[in-house]
Amino acid sequence: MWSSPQVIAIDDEPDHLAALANSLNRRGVPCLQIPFTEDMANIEPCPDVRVIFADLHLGGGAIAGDHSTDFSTIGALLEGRIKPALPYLILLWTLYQDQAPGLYKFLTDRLHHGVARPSTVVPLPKADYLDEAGGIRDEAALMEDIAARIATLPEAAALFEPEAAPVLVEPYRPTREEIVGRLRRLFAAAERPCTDDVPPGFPSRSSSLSDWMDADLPDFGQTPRQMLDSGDVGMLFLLDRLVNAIATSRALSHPVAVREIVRRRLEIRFREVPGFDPFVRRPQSFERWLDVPNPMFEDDTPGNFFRAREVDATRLRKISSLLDSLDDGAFS
Amino acid sequence: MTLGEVSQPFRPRARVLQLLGDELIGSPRLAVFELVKNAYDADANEAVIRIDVGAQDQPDAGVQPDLAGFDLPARKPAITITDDGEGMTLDLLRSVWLAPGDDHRRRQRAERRRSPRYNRLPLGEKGLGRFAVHKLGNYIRLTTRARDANECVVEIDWNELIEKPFLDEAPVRIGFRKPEVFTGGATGTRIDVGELRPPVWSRREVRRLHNQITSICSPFEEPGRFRATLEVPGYEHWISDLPDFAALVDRASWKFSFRLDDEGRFDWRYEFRKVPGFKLDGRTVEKDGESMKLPSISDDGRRERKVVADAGTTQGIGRVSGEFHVFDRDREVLQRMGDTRLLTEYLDEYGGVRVYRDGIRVYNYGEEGDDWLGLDLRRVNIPTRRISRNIILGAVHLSLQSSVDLVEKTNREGFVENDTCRRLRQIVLGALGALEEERQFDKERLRQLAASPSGPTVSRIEKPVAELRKALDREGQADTFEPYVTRIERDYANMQETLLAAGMSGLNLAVVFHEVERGVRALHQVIVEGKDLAGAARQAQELMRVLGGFSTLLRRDSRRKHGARKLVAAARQFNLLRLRYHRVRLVCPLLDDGADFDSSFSFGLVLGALNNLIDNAIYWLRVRWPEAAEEGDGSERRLFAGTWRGFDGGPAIVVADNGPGFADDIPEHFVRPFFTRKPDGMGLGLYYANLAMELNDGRLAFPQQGEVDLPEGFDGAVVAMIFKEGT
Repeated sequence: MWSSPQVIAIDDEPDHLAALANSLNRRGVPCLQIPFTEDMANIEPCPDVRVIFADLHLGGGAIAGDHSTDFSTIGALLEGRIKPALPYLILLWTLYQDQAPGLYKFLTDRLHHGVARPSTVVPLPKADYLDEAGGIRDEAALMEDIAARIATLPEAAALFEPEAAPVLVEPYRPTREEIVGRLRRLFAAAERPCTDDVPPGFPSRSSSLSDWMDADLPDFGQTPRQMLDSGDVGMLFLLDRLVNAIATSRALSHPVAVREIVRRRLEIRFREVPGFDPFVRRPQSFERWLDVPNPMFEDDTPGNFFRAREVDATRLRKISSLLDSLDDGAFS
Repeated sequence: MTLGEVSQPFRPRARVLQLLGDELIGSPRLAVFELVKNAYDADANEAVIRIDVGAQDQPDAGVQPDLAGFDLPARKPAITITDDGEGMTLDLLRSVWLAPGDDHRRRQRAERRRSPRYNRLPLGEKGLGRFAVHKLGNYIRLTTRARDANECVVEIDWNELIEKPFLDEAPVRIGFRKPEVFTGGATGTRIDVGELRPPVWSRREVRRLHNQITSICSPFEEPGRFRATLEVPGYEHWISDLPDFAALVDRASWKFSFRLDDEGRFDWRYEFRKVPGFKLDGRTVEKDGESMKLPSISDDGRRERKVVADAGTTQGIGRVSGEFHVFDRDREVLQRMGDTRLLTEYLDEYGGVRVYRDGIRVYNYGEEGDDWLGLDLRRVNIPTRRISRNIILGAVHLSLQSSVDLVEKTNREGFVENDTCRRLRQIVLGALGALEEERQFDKERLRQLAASPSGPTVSRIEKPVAELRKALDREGQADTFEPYVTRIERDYANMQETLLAAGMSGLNLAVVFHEVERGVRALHQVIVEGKDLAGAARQAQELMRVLGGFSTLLRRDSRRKHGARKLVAAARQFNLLRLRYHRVRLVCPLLDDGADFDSSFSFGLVLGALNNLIDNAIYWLRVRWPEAAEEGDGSERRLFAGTWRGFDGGPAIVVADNGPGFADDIPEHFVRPFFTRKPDGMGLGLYYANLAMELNDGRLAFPQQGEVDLPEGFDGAVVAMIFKEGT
């Protein structure tokens, strides 16, 4: 079964829309093109959307006053058509980049309670990338800029960062330094406690990446911070897989409400399968990584490393299933 | 483990006082102002500033190298500031004047203790204004006498003092004697300053000082019988030709006075005076107890931003009143006014809106280079309507007692930027908006009289754009602005081309072209001044948006047959979030089973037009019903969208509301470009809507109440979009 798109682009100027979406597609980021029409008839729901490229002036006609009518059009699209189930990122693909904070505030204040809010709205000035003919002047520069603009949002960055791509489709072979560096970056972003900016529908209480890992993965035996600070390659490897599972899981768009989002995501996805326990699926996936030689382990496999440390197979399988249950597609 | 302990007070270097003067007081002229303020606080009736400029070709003339027993008045150039206030006793001099940072004035103000003679609250609060004297020169002699007391003389020679390593090793001599300066029953303070810094006061500086001194007291509101004057012995001719403020404002074409009280009631009087050479009657409008429409400046923290002033608007500010005198500097008007050189020079240098508290100026509002209201910037989009700094002489009056949350910055660059200060800005812009609202009618009358009989010429944008590009290059801003400039240039050219090719000459777009061209010039000016480049970028974007909107309009999307219901449904969907947020109840029988009709039109264009009508309605509903209902409560704000078949020409979509309605305005005004009564409006919404309808063979109409059947209670504005039937 095809899943709903995670990246979409909406514009009423077909040339601009095609230029952007095709550039993304060519760079390996599947992006659904949605040509905007005033009756919105052609727009299907995209509940899993995580990144939305949106033109600001979709309707035309509003030439004066503030941008409320333009904001309202985008809001109507989100609420009435796209219906995202979880927080998402909006890249405002426009000539009017100063309007990004206004749009964010408008949507945060005014979207219906049952509709997910954007985690942020980032401007992406059209004029910087489009050539005279409406094509993309420099695709590589566009992709780099997109990555830079969303670098603070690990869950979205995983879709675009070049380093994230091999994680999805190729054997995973980072060095120890790379792992430590990435984990530290992710922790910096995800350890912020969440108080009142939890998206609607989620419990509004303190939650962070560390909280979640501490509470739900006791088998690791150490807190995530301890794992990171230990410097132990085995711990780092497990932590990296764990965080990678979170970062690449399509369930996540909001780094500060990790646990709630993951749980909710899994419930939505599997509640229709009688007797299915979402926490024990695809046990082979993590094990696959265990058998791939890795520079972290001096080109031996992680599996051999753990066996030499006498980590028993049952425990590894349990860890594996926990991780895979989060990963939701990253290994498939 | 602690091995021992010593106790050591701070020991400031002697030069710290001079440094404070230098750092805190922006300019020698501002230093004079600080000293005049001290005179006001001393309950003086008058402060006389005398500047002995000395021989101009020999800056050091008269300065004696010998420091002993210096005679300050002989040391030219020199400044003397004399007031007839209450003076200081020896005790006060020692405990207050020589104790920087003393807060007795602040306490006096907090306790609302007013001065005995003129019933004033003190302006000073930080005890730092006296450092101004050290800004002005190296030799200072302060002579003061309080009632029934000896005369005291303090002499400070900074050349001598700063040679001492520490302040406590640099004692200041205070002499007391039988009165010699303030003889008889006279009291007051005189400060003589010699060896001025900078040493030369040029003619230009003295003229500017004169203008500054004359602006210290409000020209419109008597500040408790206080006045400040400047004397320039031997060089009176330097200032004798300077324009008299009262005579200047008499030449203004517009006079506007207003008052906003604590409850948010707005009284104002607008006067358009006869303009020499134009056969045009003057016009006066006066309103009491109106709602002041507030421009949006920033989020006011409420669930829904207020669009009209209420009691909360003036909180911490108190009652605000003011006067604006606005000049017309259009070439056609100036030509008929006769000698205008002094006027235009004065406006260029001193134009703007000043702020006065208890009649005394708050710096640096309204000074050259200060655009605290952002007047020049907001002008970029609608230059004809908006008032720029160089056409206005204005004053805003505050009460010191009420404006408790407006705190002056120590460096005299206005009030501390807080929410109260932002609200003050909003109030003044709101008043200015009311003036602009009325002024647009008379501007239009003037324009029609001054217009060439052959109609408006086609504007050329090439030259202003080239100049703008040059300025952007010079300021290193080309990269930021070039996308906007390119787009503006392109859309402008496309529009002109389309108009010529399609023969659409009757669309009144020449006015739009002209305004865009002037907007580009205004943007150029803002870039050259380089004050707020981020704001300039926003304005450039808006300019681009205006052109982009018209460009879309003229592209004429393909026309196809659509139903009215589909159109209204789309508009409702687009505006749903806004209607819900502002608690506007939409009454729309058409979406259920109301009478539908088909017509051939460009869906996008007409939807844009309908969106503009809804946008207007939402705003005006918020004006009439400022309080948004709580969720679940019935809202007073109501909007109707339905169909009507009673017009000549075809069926219509009627949009009605229960806002304030159009009052006495005539429909021709609504569809004229740049006509608006919204403070932030550009006056293009209805113009665009009308244009969109005309391009689709329809029109916009403004039926009177009762002309169409409406559900009960829709007693505000009614607008009809009349379509050509079924084509």
